[in-house]
Amino acid sequence: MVKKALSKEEILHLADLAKLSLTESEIDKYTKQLGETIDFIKNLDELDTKDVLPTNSVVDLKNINFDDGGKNEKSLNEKEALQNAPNIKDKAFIVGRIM
Amino acid sequence: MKQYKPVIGLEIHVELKTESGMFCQCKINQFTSLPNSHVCPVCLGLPGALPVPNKKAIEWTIKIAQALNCTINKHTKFDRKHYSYPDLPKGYQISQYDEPIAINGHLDFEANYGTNKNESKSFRIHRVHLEEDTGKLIHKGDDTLIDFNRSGTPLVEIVTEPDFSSSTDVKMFLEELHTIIRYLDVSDADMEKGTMRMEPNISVRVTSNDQISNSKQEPISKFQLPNYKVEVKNINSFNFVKRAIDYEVKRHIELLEQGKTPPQETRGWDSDHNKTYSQRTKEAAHDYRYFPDPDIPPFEFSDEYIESIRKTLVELPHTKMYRYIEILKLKPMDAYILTRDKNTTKKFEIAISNNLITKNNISPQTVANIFINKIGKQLPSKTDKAIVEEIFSLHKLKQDLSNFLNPEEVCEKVIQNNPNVVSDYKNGKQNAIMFLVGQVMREMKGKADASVVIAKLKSQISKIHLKSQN
Amino acid sequence: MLLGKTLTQLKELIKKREITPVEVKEYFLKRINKFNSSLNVFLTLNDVDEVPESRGAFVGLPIAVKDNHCTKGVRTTASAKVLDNFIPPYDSTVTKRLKYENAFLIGKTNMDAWAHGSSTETSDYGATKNPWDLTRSPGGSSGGSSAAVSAYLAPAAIGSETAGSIRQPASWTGVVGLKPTYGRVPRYGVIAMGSSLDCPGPLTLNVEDAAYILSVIAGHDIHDATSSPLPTEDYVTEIKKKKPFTIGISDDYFEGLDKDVATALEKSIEVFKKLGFKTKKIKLLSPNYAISVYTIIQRAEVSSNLARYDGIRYGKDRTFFGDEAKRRIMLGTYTLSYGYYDAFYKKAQKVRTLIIQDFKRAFQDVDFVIGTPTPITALKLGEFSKYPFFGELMDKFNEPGSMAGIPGISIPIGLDSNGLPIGMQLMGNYFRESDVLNAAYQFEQETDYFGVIKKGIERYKD
Repeated sequence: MVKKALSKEEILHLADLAKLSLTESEIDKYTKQLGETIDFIKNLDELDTKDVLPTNSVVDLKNINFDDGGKNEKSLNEKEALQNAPNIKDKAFIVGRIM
Repeated sequence: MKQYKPVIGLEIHVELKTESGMFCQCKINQFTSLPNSHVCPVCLGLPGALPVPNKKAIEWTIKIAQALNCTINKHTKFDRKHYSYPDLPKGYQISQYDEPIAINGHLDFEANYGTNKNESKSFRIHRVHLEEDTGKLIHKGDDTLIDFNRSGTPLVEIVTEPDFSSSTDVKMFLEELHTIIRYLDVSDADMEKGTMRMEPNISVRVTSNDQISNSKQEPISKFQLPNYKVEVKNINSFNFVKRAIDYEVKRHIELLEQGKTPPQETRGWDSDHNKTYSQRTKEAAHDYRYFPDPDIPPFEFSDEYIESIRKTLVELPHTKMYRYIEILKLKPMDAYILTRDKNTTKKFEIAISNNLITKNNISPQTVANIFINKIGKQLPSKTDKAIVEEIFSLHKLKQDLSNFLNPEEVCEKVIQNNPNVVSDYKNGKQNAIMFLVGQVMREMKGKADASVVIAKLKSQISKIHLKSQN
Repeated sequence: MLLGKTLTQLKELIKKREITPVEVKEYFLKRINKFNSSLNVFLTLNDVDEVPESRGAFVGLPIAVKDNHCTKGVRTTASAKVLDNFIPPYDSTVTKRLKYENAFLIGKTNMDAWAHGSSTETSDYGATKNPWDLTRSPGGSSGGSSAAVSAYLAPAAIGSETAGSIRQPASWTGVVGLKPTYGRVPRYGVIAMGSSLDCPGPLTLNVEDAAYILSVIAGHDIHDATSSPLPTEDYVTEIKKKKPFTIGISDDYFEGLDKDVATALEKSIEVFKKLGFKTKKIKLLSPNYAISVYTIIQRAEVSSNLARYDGIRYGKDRTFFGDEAKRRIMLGTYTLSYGYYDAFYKKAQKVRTLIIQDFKRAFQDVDFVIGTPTPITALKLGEFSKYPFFGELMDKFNEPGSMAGIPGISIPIGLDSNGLPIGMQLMGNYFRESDVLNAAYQFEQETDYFGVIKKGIERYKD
């Protein structure tokens, strides 16, 4: 991890990936703060993990699944499905036309 | 001299026809339902909802992979693939990244088997993985409507190696794959409904003459892949895939001729104008930020489990076709036609092993002829018994006729023996023909179709007429 | 007459028909009316559900619920403006189980927005005040739930932890807070923060109430693939068996403690010794690594979990995210993005393996690791915003256990020179909630927490 502090372009790229629109002052602030955090978390480099497997889940579980075609306890009715949407039309959610 | 050779790979998406969703128990494949009428917190991506995988979807994916001769990964997991689109409710799709369910397969088949154009084909499968489908967008006026009924439908992605160099091969491969999927009975693979979707990625390789070997299929490792690739999305027929590839290859060659490299991009297919159009260029490069989905523990498959699924594999269309040819001695083309549809083969196999058929020594080839020529299209609506009876009666009729008399000869004889009646008929006495028919039927002991006899008599009499005029 | 009665005591009163569930509800609503404006504990009161009948484990008793648990028909915001108007059409498994046992979910408590923080100050609805000192933070992110119990605006509350979010506020407001093993209590319906870390759990006035609530909310859920199928125990019965335990003491967990905290902790160890517990020196990996692992993994999961908020199906669009959420999304996006995944996320997952191995090794010799959920007592409001991840530093003693997924309990052990509560925590082996609760119960029976919980409630007379 010999990563230099983040550039403004990188911050903008990350914001674009994350669908966030940032103000100029936020861009400056996050550039600095992310840089500080990244500096801190580099302490992990002190640990040798060459032969260590990553842990994706702390629960010692595998092959968890459900049988197809069972009863659907969680089904939502039309009102429940749509009640929180700011815009609906013909029982569908809507956004401005996407080309 | 410069040579251009297309390099084509395929991504095929197949929606499984499980009853429940990939990660929730919503009923899926409800094509006639109202929008958003089969949803739950999971497939609607509500805050706090959690996915649980569908067991059958995993088994069926393994089955597809086994049919494509893949190695099943004994350890597999689901990953989150992040991108943003209104039909993707969670802002990520649960998919598989570095540990797909299966890798390294191949699909082999004989093209034009039994003809002089016969060719063995083999195309490598890069991977087979399982993911969830998105919702559906419907564009209406200034709005885009979003229906999440389809969201969370199990979706199998089959990725080939870039082994194809012709659109004809691609089409054949896709037809074969489609037949296999339908055989496995895991998906409707209906392109109209979008339950099978195809995305070719196309580039064109420039080589000099001597580099092109005669072998039709070179492993990709032997040469450098072009430094760009164009993906064509949302094609819903095999013919359109072929046309899109042909269109792209021509377009690329034109650009390459001008010394340009075609830009890496995603294109759409416009079937109204038979051309592709640019959708997205490389600038918006993907960074999917894959990571293992912390909501779903990994999967480990034992050998026994993998074998137990393999045991449920049915005989696949190409194997069945070879068997029909080798064992049942069918004509290759007939074997090919019959094996395109699993239901047809099922009924065919019931018919040839039926007592009535075997005792009367009706050969599989005879049955095949009747299947293909007489009852092919009505097959789905017929019971097995009705099919067998129809085969038997058609066969018997044919056999009787051939065993006794040839109606052609009998007609000729009756015409010769009754010159007056023939002349009456020619002079406009229409009913006179019925006397001749009666004579023929009597000669043939009633074992002839009157309408066929009338037609034959009329045809022969008309020739006499012509002769006399000459 | 009701002031300070535990859940268990209230249950007895209802069973003996000395009081009705409706009267209990009215009692707490009155207190909420009186104190909520100064404490800012409740964001939404439940005016949708009826008070249930006096049946089931909770006989109609009120329980406060952290606002990141989806409650059917009752507004759920996770203290974030993005979800300002969100009415869940479904219940989290935890609230469903509570309701099934006839609890009345009295209201939704304030928290750090999306649970991002350790002070409740990142809430888009203003900080919750520490009932012990209104100029101070109650801790977080379950600060609303801990303050509700501390000031007796509810006899018990549900919180949730990602790393310290139950234990730290419990410590700062002087109540009992239990963080179960990851997977012991289902996450279904809890607005996800760090999916591989999140654990719902109870905040209560005593250990018995915590055991009581855990008995109801713990257990396998077919809708949460990470929930454990291991059987639960009768925790209320288990805590009352006097068991001998060995406590592990690792120096790294005593570093940088406030003097009063260190003293109180020493005194507590003596209490355990008096109870017949053995102590043993152990050596664990420095918590400083867990801070980094936690920061990387939690931010990555946050950036992913918050991707669904696009304002199309519910809530408001992404411009409504607050500062802390945006900062976390940015870092998480960075560590997962192309070219950095191996250096950050994967490296962190590997170190996580080391942390797990470290604890597993320790638990071969000892039953608990003892420490404090927080090196200092409640901070003044405003202190947290001085550094970008000050909360992570403050939670350094909770993060290793959270990364490993082991259970822990925070209990009050005294007051500091400013009169603020000090907490102690015991971290136990996987799924040994009954042991953790048992030891805490023995401590409680011996000390009554030196009167801390009672003192807290007495400040808020009826």
